[in-house]
Amino acid sequence: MSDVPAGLFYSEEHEYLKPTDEEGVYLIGVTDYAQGELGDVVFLELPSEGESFGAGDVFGTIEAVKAVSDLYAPVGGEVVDVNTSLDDDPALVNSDPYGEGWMIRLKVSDESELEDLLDDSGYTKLIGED
Amino acid sequence: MAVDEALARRRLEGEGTLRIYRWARPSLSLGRNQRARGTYDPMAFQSLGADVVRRPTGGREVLHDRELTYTLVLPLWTPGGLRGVYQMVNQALVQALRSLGVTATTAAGRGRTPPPDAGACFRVPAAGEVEVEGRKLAGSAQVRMGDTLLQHGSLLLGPASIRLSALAGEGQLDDETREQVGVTLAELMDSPVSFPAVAAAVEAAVAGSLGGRWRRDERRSDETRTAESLLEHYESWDWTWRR
Repeated sequence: MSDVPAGLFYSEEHEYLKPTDEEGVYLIGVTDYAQGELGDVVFLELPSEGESFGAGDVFGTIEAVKAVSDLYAPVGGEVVDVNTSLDDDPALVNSDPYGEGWMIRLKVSDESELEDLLDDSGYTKLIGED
Repeated sequence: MAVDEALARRRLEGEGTLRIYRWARPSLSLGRNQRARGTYDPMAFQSLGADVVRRPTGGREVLHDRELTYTLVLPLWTPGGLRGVYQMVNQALVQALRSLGVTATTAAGRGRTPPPDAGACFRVPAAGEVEVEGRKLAGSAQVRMGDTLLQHGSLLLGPASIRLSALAGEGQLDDETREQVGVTLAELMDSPVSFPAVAAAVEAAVAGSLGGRWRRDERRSDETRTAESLLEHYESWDWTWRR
């Protein structure tokens, strides 16, 4: 069974938003289910601090087992930090997807967009593990 | 590469495409994310009459010379998704090779997948790839574009006429472990096999494995236009030498 923690927001593209201590700022990464489906993550191409994205925009790419996939912003906002630890150790996405494997910190421009995302039970249903 | 991406960008609902081709001259294709700057020497390609391109797909470099390249474009919802297609195509290649009299198998897992800078694609078979007695015969890599999957693959027909080290900068790739050292069909077969014969075997096995109805077709005008618009990107220095 995949780990689907409560208190996070999930997209149908298998990204999560995790609240931080800072108002309106969320960590974004891929879910435990996604990392399991992708396999060994070997490379990430992430945006720079200060870049902005709309909901559904491609914000980067992830390469795992020689397959490259786009990463989609679940909501719009501005990148306020990027996890540079992933440059040296992309496998953190596999070993700790909701912790050290986070990808970007996003200052969400319109928090009402969060209403379009799934909660843990909705995401568990989406991946067929309910 | 522009044509391959165009086939993916212009895929019609419920359809897929298998394209089989060979290269006009010895060519190195780089994996989308692998490092090439400081390893390969742009001038060496010119002096050897070789080309270099960067693929949209992941993985590592492949020297295309006396080999068969295939591009497979499918809906992402094909059963099994990315990994399912990868395994299915490798099984189909094993069947194609058996129809030619070569006993190939798919490789067992060998630990963690190497990063894109770990040396030529044909050095070591990754889990599920086609090998003969531990030596890699066919390699593949994928990219997901929206709801479409594009898989590139390469099957070695004979020994390449140039070495990777000849394309490298001074002091780079002197180590033998970086050379492309897979096994080729020419080494495994008693008599030479032609490109069309291998292409026909691959076509039959892939179509048979995927099922559905397949037809031979010309490139559509919208695919050609998209390919033309992508050409500038794939010919650009910024893309090829981006890392």
